Amino acid sequence: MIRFHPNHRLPALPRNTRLWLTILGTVILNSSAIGQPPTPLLKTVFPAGCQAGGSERVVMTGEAMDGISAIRSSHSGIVFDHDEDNHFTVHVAADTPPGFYDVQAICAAGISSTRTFFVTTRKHVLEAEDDGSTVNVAISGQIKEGGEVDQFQFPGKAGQRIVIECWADRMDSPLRAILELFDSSGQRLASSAGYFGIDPAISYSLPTDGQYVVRLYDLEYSGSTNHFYRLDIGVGPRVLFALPSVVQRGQPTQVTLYGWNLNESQNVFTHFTVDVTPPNTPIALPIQRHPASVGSDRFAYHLPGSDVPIEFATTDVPVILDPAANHAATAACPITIPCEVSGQLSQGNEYDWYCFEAKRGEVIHVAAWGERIGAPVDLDIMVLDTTGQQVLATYHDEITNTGGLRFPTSHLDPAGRWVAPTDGRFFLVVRNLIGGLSNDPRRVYRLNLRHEESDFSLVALPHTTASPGAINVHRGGRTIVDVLAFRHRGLTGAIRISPQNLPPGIECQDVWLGPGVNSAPLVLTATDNAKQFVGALELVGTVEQQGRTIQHPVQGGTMVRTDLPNGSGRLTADVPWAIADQAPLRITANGHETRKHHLYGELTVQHSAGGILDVAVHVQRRDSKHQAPIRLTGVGLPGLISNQVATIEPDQQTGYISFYLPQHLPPGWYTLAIGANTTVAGADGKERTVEAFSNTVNFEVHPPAFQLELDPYTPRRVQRGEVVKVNYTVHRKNGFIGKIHTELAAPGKVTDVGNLRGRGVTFVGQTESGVIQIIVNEDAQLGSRPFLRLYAVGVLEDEVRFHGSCFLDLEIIE
Amino acid sequence: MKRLSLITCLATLLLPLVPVRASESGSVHFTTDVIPILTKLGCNGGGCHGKATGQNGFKLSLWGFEPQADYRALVKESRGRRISPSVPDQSLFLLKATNTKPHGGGMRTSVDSDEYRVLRQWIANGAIPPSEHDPKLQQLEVTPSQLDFSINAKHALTVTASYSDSTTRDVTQGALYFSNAKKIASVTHDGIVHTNMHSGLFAVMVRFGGKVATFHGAVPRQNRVDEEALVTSRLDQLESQLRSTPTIDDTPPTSRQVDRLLIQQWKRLGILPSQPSNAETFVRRVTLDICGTLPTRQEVEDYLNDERADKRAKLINRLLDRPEYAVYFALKWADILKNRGSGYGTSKQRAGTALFSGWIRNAIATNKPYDRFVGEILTASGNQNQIPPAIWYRSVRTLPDYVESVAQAFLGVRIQCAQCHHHPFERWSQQDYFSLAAVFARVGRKGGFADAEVPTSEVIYLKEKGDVFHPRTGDLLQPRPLGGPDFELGPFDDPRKSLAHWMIQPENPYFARTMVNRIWAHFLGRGIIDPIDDARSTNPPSNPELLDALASDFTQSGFDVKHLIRVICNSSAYGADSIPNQFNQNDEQTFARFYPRRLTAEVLLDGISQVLEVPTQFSGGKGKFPAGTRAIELPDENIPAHFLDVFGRPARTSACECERIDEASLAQALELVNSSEINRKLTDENGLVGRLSANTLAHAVNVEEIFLRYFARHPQPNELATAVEFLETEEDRAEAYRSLLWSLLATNEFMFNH
Repeated sequence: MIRFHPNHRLPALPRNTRLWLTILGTVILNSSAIGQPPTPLLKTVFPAGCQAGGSERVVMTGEAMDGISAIRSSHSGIVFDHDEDNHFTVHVAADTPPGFYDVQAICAAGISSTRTFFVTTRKHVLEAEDDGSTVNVAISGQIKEGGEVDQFQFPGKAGQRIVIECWADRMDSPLRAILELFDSSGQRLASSAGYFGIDPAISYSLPTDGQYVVRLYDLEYSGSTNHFYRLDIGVGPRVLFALPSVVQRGQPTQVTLYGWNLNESQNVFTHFTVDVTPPNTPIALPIQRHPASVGSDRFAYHLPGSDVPIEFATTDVPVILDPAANHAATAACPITIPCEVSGQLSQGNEYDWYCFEAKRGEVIHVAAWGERIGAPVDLDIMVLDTTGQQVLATYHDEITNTGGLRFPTSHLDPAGRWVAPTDGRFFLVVRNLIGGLSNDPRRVYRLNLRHEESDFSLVALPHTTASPGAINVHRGGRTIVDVLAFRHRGLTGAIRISPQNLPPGIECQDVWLGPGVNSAPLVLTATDNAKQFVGALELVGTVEQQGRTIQHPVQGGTMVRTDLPNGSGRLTADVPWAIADQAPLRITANGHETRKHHLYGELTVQHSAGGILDVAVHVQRRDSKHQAPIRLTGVGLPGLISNQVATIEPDQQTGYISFYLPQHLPPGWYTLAIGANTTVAGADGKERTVEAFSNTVNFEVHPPAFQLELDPYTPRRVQRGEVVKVNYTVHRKNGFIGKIHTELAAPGKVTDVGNLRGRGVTFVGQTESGVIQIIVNEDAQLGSRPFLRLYAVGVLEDEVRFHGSCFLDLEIIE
Repeated sequence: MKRLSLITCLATLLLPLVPVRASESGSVHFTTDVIPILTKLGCNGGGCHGKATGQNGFKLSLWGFEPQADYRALVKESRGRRISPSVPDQSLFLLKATNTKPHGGGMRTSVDSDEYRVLRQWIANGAIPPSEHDPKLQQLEVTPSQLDFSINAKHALTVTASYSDSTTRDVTQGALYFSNAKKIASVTHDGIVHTNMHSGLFAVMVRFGGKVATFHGAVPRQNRVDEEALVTSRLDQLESQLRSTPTIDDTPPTSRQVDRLLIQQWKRLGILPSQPSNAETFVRRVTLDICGTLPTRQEVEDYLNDERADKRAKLINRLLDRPEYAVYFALKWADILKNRGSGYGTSKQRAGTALFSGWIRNAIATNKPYDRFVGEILTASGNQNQIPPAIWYRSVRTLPDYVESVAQAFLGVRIQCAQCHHHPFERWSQQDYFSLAAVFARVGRKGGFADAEVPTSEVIYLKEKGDVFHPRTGDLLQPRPLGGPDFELGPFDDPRKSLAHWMIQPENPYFARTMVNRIWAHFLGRGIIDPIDDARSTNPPSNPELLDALASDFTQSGFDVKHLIRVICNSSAYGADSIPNQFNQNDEQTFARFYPRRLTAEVLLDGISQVLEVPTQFSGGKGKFPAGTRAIELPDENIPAHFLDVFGRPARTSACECERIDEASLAQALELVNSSEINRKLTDENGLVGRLSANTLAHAVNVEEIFLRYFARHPQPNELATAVEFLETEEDRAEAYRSLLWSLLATNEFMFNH
């Protein structure tokens, strides 16, 4: 029978919640530094695990973790009591399922980044305490310094299949572990440099009774207290994968588990058949997952006696199990779309053939899962014509990396859209591009075949780039949460993100991931007197499409490490956040400031592609005595929009930053925010660099009525007192034939822009080209003029209906 | 020997042979008559008009492998000014060749020469271009194909060309000749072989019209009658012993076959092998060769005290089971497979080199069959973080890399020349080169982190498409192994798998032979084919029967490398003393004695660390190597160690073992004298110097210990006396031992495996 895990979507607090909140509030409120302290960075929890039903003394280490007072865990059965300094005692309830959970430290500066904590049903021992007298243990250890080699001894019996497994990369450790097994004479019997990804494992049938030795070290002989690991030495069952690996929601299904020591056989791989009943609603998994595995509903399964859960995906369409003999077109397995296939490519050069009927114009979305479910495969999918000879389409990797190095979302699993060219029976081939010469039964895959039913998944993560971060909202300030979108099966429209159940004193605007946009900033704003809070941020994404409303909760994600070339991130159980100390400054942005036009009065700008978005930025410094320039940049810009830089000088409270909206920007809602870098005085009187963020600016981009284009030979440098003529062209769009009036403008000003004057030109009818004359006064400010532009309004019935701009780079010289 | 001399004399009397010229027998063809002359005269050589840029505006294909292009250059280019069919003798081409008009290359021929007449006739005939219907050269034959010579003898070779129209021609005068051992025999431009004062084996490469043929010669040692009798008697005796002595357990039968084949060659050459080495020499030699490690005193004494008849075979087996065997041979393969860490901007390569190095070590430790080992490298796919053999593709990145690394490392063929032109000494053409390249055309790379020039953590995979075109003709080339037909491939098939399959076939002429030759060279100091990765008909094996026997046995054993090593190490040749006798003192080809060689850089440094009991501390990269890490265990060449660089550690930029330099240099001497690392080892109180100076044992006892450590033998009485006398004259006991140990490090006996 399947065992369900509790739903962890709500934040789990320690059992002594009241005391914990008191400690937390005291710590946070007593911190009075004006300078914003860095985000606590939790690097190591050691030991990083505990036996279910047991207790363990743990040490938390990291950076900026002064005033650490509590630990938040993602499971209510895992409770940390503060002993002293960074020492805690963890108590794990006996009914806590074995697996991997998230913990964060609560420090003076707020909540820390996330680390993994495991729960085991095995005897848990520390490296130093292991007496080598038994097997079936989970050992917590560290490679504390370069060149260190840890050794463990255990008794073995002839014929026993011993399973030695190291967890390091899979639980956030930078250790690249190497395992070696020796007999009592020092003869090396086996070694592993990686089995579960880069984490090693050895499965070995012991030849004789006697003592055996396991050696563990880092591949590059690196070491530090952060190089922690879990080492399992056992003879119990270890499930590696299951077939099918996906089951229909709510349907009891018989599955076969594959792994080590699952039955009495002496084979390397054994199998065992069980019945599972998948849940009807998603359940949080005690398993660390690939960033791009968001969006697949799954549940965990524990085989009795096994210490490691495996996961099953659930689906709402029929599941087809890959027949073993479908390795040629003539033996193709017939399938009916929609469906989900659970397959296996054990042989290095194996091809799984399927066939299906499709009508001309029928749209089919193909999505495969291999790497993302931990299988050592690089899948490739081809659709072939009715003869099975001509390849009509191929699908490779997902190369889009929305999360960058901190949360790499690219992966090797193929996906794509296919339109049937004719009525007929087509073939689909799944193959593994990295099969080589070897056989490996772990090469399983899922193949999802559906019609065009758009969907999406969302992940929220701290806005950090250089190190794992956390979401701390400082009182009187704001913080950014990055929301990433994974669009499925043709979804292109805007996704609206809305917060839910925010505590008092916290504001958060809805934000939009515009058409085709896959990331956006969401800003949390805390009032000056917001009360202390630590919990999980609840966000919901909504898409309205063709009269259908689709809603999904936003899952959590985190960066794991920065020291790998390709970055490392994973999903988290929730989106942890906290309210922290006072913010040193507050930035407020307004993207909808009205504009006074000398002909048409106060105008509210309607944005369109080929125009300019002006954002007015207002700064409130908590310490008004300390004045420093504030550098503004855009944050979370939609991909097509280029970033800009602007500066608010000391003693100034307002400024502008403007963004050109490219001509090909699709109409729709978009969101961005403004980031501000400056210095503030710290508690110690020293200057400290801080980063602050504005509220979000939501803006709708409309189809343009016209677009402006400057003559490429327009002079870039003009002298004081000079009069220059700028040739330009107006390209009318979308059938607009009304009057267009052009002026020289700058953010907040039209025509008279700081001792520059541009005389307006009006086009009527089909006129498209003109000249604007710019008079540079003798007292015009020298230097480049930021965000100067040609600004045009489109007029219908004497009413300004449309706006368009293009930047005009001018430098004023003597 | 008398019979041989008679044959040689008769052959000499027949000189000179008069070859029949093509020009006299009818029409002159550009491809078969003109181009060979251009080659013979050196016109299309790499130093003249055959170089890539040509010479003074006149460019010919190198050695005439592109007749159409050469015809255009000669007849059409420069408005046809080089050829004057109406006045052939005024052709600029002939005026230049005879230096009648100033010619940078000087006079290449004279107006009364055969070459001139042929060229003139071709011009007078209208300078007819090459045609598909022209007879094509099918085969080149040299007669005799082999011959035994006496010292200071000569013999004329006859070279016969067979054409597609079933005609044959004597092309002796038109062919080019090269001797591979001028010390033993030289050859004139018209094919007359002259032997010199040295005995041995040699080959003469004959080239004509793009084809090559090889003549194999031998110059037996000129023994006196009594010497000849002694040699014959002793070799007969050895042969008889091989037949009569029962097979000892653990000794592979093929070892005897090796001995038999060597004896046959020694008989042919009149060579008597050295005596078998003594037990002390053998235990040191074989431990160094198999494990890259000096034997300990205990191991030496155990072996010396072992009285079993098969103790040698048992020692070899024990050594092959030691982890040092895998470590040492992994180092060798890491060199060949270019597991390289340097030359890049950061140290991100270390994880990959360590991973690949570990994988090689595991493969050797578990005695992974060689075919499987190579197959897994060639077909490696996947993330280099997780699939160690895929790291081979990190250093081997381009089509030339693929072709040249595969050909050199696994097939023993140097095919680099064929990238630009037809191989001058072999059959390999650009077609062969780029058809092999096509095998790898679909190797795809994705992901990875750009670490300076070379990305790490790439995913190697099979691309959907990948084409290779002939650089000259532009033809699309299908994947094809060297010398073989195109692979039959389905659209989804990985050509690399076909290549791996082709390699391991028993009839493959390269794969097994290259490996056995490589391993033979490792243990015997020289390949049966030498250099070991330059197999070609014009560089023949010194003992073809031996190479074939070893290759056949290796294939039949399932490409069992440990078995191969057992076969070689149990042979008499490997067990022979390095001290020569009067019969083999000049032998450098037939393994009649053990050829001493300096310890490689890593083995020497480890040896010094071992005997002085002070390990070297290696650093570099992110981590710190554990105390006691040995030089042979280092994953790549980028770990700073000046000693290793001075003593010839290779840079791993090519698949050639020749990168490892074992020649002596002044820097090496200075390193032994001035090195801070050597000084540290000699002054470490926890090392051997500290231990010997602190103990109260008699000097003689300590000297005994030192000799067993250094040389795996007891000191001779005079050595012992000298050492003790020296030690006693020094007041400072530590300084005395330090000086003694230091001086012994610089002895040939320590620095060489002999």
